[in-house]
Amino acid sequence: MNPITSCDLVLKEINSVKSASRNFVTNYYLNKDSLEFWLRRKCFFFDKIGETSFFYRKDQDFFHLFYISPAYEELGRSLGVLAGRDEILVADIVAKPGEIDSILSVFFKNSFHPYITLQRMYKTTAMGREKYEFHNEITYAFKGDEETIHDILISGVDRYAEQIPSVEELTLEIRNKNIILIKKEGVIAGFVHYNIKGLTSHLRYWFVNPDFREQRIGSKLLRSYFSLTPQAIRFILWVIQTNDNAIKRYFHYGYVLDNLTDTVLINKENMNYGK
Amino acid sequence: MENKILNILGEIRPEFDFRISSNFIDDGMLDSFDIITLVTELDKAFCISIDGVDIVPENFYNLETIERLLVKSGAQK
Repeated sequence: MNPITSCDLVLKEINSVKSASRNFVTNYYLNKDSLEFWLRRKCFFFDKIGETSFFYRKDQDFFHLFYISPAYEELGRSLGVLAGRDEILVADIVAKPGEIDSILSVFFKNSFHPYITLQRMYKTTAMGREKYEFHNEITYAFKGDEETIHDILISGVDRYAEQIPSVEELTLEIRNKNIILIKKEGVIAGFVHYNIKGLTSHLRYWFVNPDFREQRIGSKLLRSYFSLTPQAIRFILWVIQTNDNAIKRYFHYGYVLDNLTDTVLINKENMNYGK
Repeated sequence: MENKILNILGEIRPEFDFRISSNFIDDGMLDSFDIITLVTELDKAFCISIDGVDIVPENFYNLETIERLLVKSGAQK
């Protein structure tokens, strides 16, 4: 595993695999902003095994695994070599039904195990736009809230299934006004973390502190979030596929199920979601 | 060609009007997953095979860049 120090190396590797095969397979969708951020944090690594390029992003006690390979067969051979590694490797396979089985079987044959599946949900303003108002109890998160929000995420969210932002990322998100919250007696009673890119808004986290349930905190937060994103036409989020309660709540706010899933795979046996 | 591209884009993301944007990526109208779907649909519709090296965001900014990519990939205008 070698550290990557420049975007150029990543682009060069991607292009070399892509140009060698029209049928290349990958789970790495280049986002230059994220890549530059990871390079600054020195948490992005690279390996070439056979004809497959692997990228690894260090996150807490594990690595997110990305691959780009000329074909499934070659990926399988390279994963076979990777299987003996001690590190915990987590791969996200995002695909539509009908496309997912062939890729998953390559991983299953090479010591990766299913961990959990996330489901994308979305809504568009074409499906109706309700009028939402910013609730007066809500404020943007302030500098200094990042540590608490990070602690909440670390203790309440599964680190392998969710892409938990670092304290540094949360600091940036707070600066960019991408987190709103409600505080009660100095305690964060709930928060919403979102991103907006052009006409699409991504709801990343919607959290209500269990001590403040039944006070309509969640509703106030979500309604305020919608009021802050009037330019958005499309709203997306990812939810654990088996979390019926959360899905039901999102249905209530007009979201519907998309046909895109994210299957999280892990290279260790007996690792259970939420444990 | 433009109408055919617009029809495909409309099927992938019916909620957006692709005629009014000059940058589908920055405007949040297409994400990386949509681009993969778009490539498959363009390949089918224009009987071509878009090269892997050309699957980069800048080729999918707007109708003009997509059209240029299609021509480069062998599509008939």
